[in-house]
Amino acid sequence: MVLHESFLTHANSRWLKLSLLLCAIAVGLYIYHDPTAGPNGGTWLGYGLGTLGLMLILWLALLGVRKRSYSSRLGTVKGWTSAHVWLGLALIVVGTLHTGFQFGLNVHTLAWVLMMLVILSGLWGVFAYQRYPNIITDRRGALPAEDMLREIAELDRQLVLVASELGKDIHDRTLQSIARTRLGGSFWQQVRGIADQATGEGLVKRLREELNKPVIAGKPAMTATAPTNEGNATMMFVADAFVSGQQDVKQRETRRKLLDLFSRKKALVSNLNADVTRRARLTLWLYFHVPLTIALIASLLVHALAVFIYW
Amino acid sequence: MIFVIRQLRGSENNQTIVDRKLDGAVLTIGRGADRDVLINDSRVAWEHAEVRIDKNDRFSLFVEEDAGSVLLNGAPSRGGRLANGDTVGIGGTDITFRVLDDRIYIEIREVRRGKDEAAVLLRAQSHLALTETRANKRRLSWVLFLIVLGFGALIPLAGRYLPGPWAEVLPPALQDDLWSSGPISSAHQSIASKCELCHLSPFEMTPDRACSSCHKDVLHHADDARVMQELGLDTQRCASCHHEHEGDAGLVLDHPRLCTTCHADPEQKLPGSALLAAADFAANHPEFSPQVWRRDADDERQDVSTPWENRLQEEASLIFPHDLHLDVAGIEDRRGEVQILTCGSCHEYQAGQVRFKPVNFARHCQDCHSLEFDPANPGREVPHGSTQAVLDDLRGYFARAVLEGREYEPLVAPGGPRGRGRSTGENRKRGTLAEKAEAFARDAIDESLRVRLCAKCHQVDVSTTSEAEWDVVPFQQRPVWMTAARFDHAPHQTVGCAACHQAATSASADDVLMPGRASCTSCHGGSHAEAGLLPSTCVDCHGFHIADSLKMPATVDLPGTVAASMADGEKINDPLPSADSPSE
Repeated sequence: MVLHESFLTHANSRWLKLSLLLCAIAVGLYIYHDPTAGPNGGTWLGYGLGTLGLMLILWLALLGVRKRSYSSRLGTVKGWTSAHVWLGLALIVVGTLHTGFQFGLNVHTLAWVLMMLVILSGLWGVFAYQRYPNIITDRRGALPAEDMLREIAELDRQLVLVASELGKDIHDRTLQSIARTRLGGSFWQQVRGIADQATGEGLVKRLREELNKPVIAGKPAMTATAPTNEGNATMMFVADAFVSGQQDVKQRETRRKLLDLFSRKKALVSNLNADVTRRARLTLWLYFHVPLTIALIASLLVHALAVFIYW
Repeated sequence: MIFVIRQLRGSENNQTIVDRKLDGAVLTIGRGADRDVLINDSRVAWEHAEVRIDKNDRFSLFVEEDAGSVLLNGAPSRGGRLANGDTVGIGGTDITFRVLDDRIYIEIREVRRGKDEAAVLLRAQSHLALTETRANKRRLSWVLFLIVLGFGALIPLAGRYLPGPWAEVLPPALQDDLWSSGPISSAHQSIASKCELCHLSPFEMTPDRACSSCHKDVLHHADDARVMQELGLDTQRCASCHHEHEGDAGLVLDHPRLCTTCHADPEQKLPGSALLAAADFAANHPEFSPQVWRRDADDERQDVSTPWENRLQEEASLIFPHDLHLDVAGIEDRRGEVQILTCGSCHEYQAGQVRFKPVNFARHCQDCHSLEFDPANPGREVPHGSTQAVLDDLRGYFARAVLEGREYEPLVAPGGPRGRGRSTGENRKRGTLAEKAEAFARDAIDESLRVRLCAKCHQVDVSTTSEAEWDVVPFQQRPVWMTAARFDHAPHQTVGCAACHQAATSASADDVLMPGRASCTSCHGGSHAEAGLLPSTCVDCHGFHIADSLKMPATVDLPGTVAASMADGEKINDPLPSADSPSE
């Protein structure tokens, strides 16, 4: 897994070192500390680690907000990300030592569990970015391919123009196929991978069959059994070779053009959908990380309330 | 409703208007010849859209499923409610709806659209990122936030502090039980879900008065109130040493520091104190100091704390060689039969097996040690326990013997303060029957006490006060030598008596057969014991609440506490400890 100037090693691994130091201090104090009632969140070290953990969590949550405001001049995004990841990982040590390893079915352990889930989902995010390091620098936001969209729209325009020369039926079905074109998809479709929708499959099949039909008696019907491959220019050429009827030549040419446009559109849509899925998988972790963080903050409120109301 | 379809042609300044009226509830739009609004444009579907009017004269746009999106006031749309002035763009045509006097004027105008508008339409019906789908991080976050806050705080708070039936209606799993930081100790199970009995008021640490509402009159550490105050023991909370919500382990904290802050260096905290420094049972603990009797200046026996040593002696006033009785070959009883004795032959456990019942002559000794005094009458024994009782018994016995004409001759020549030959010797021969009986009794008691029976085990002294003329120095069994520590014999049974008590080699009852510290440390380590040793802390043997009479401060009754709720007849499963039995 090669990283290009990874945020993990940002600034000579400054935040990694700081986090390791923080963990070492916490563990050292934990070992040194010998409270009369055993390790517990209510000792001086327990309160200390708890306060530190709370502050870290709130600060890291703010870092999440900061990461999204690219205009700020307060440090680089990479620096903030590095701090966010390494200090977040340090929380495993700080938060767990705060518990004194006392776990139970209560609101206090809920906070710890949520904290661990937030950290785990964050780790997932780290690995997601490691897998697609080039996308992190792509700042075009949610729009993966404005150019591709424009190109598809242009293909649609040409499709309509070409189809209008082929009679009402083909024209209608072309319009229908354009109207039904869906790029991307629902949450789960994006995550699972998108089956290309309505790029005129039925029409393409019909056109191809018509083109493959030999029109002049006596010539062998070679293309009737030839393998069909959408977008295969050679195939089209072979099909064309069978066209001899002069009145059909123009029609066949138009149909071939329509087929060609459809296959170009299909390739474009496939590309774009694959890109959408890649981005969806890259950002899926956030749909766990962010809500769990908010739930964690709620559970910390509950934790602190329960501790001090029944001190 | 009447539609007026108005075809606008030409520029703004040079418009041609073609009006056409139409009556109906539906207006159809498309490329088909049968459409009400016909748009001859290859981008437009045969049947592209409809405008429908409902009963309330509101009108809405519906785009056919297989037709492309339209532009509603410039924004991509799949239909919706229309209002006066709205413009719908389809292909290269704009359709503007104007409502005037129960008529809808439909202005149709050809326009030239920018190149990107098709892309915008396509974009509008696509979801290219997770953020464009119905999944919403913000909404999900709020839902989770409210669930956690509601179940974690709001509902339990309602159950605890709102008046009304909340506390009864809500199951415990939804109430403040959720706030419990750990398991309640066994001792407090009966009040485990009554949080309010200990947590009296919010944001206040559990006060001592919550504890003392049940645990009344708990003894202090020592009896000098001033010293207790100076040492800061009065400002400690019950919870300083007794933690709840940590199962049984926290109920009596056993961390040595709770004791060693003072006891590691008593001189520093309490100058002039007789306390010996103790910090750890294995590493730093004084030798045991059993209580033994020592004679003071007036020759009175006093309890004195004496450092343990091997063969520590204490005046027992009893002749009892343990070694002889514990001879593995056995010892003959009065019938000449060999009995093999063990510790348990004489030392019987009290109920609970913590300590032992006092050794009793009739139960443990008399089987072998006969108190027969008249060789002519074997089986007749004097009573045990009081010289006066012996004398009275002998007087009765010999009164009858004299009346029956029997004679008595002791086995041993009389001695003692009076001696024989003065009055007794004479009376044996020439005295009245009463005098003769008294002389026999005197001779018999003299022999029994001084020589044969009592003196076998007891120290017998000449008495100036007793009518029997002899005093048996009383043997008082000491129940406990080591008073500062608790020792429970039951869990130690497996190691056997001889592991700690050197009775088998003790020839004198003066030997204090208590073990020294080394005997304990062969098994017991300190609080951080090395491998193979039992970790042992201060409170394993020592108690804190050991004053004789001084009570811990703050014993107040409060309404709403356990005691009060019990008085109210609330159901509490186990009777709670009474004031008379403070824990050790």
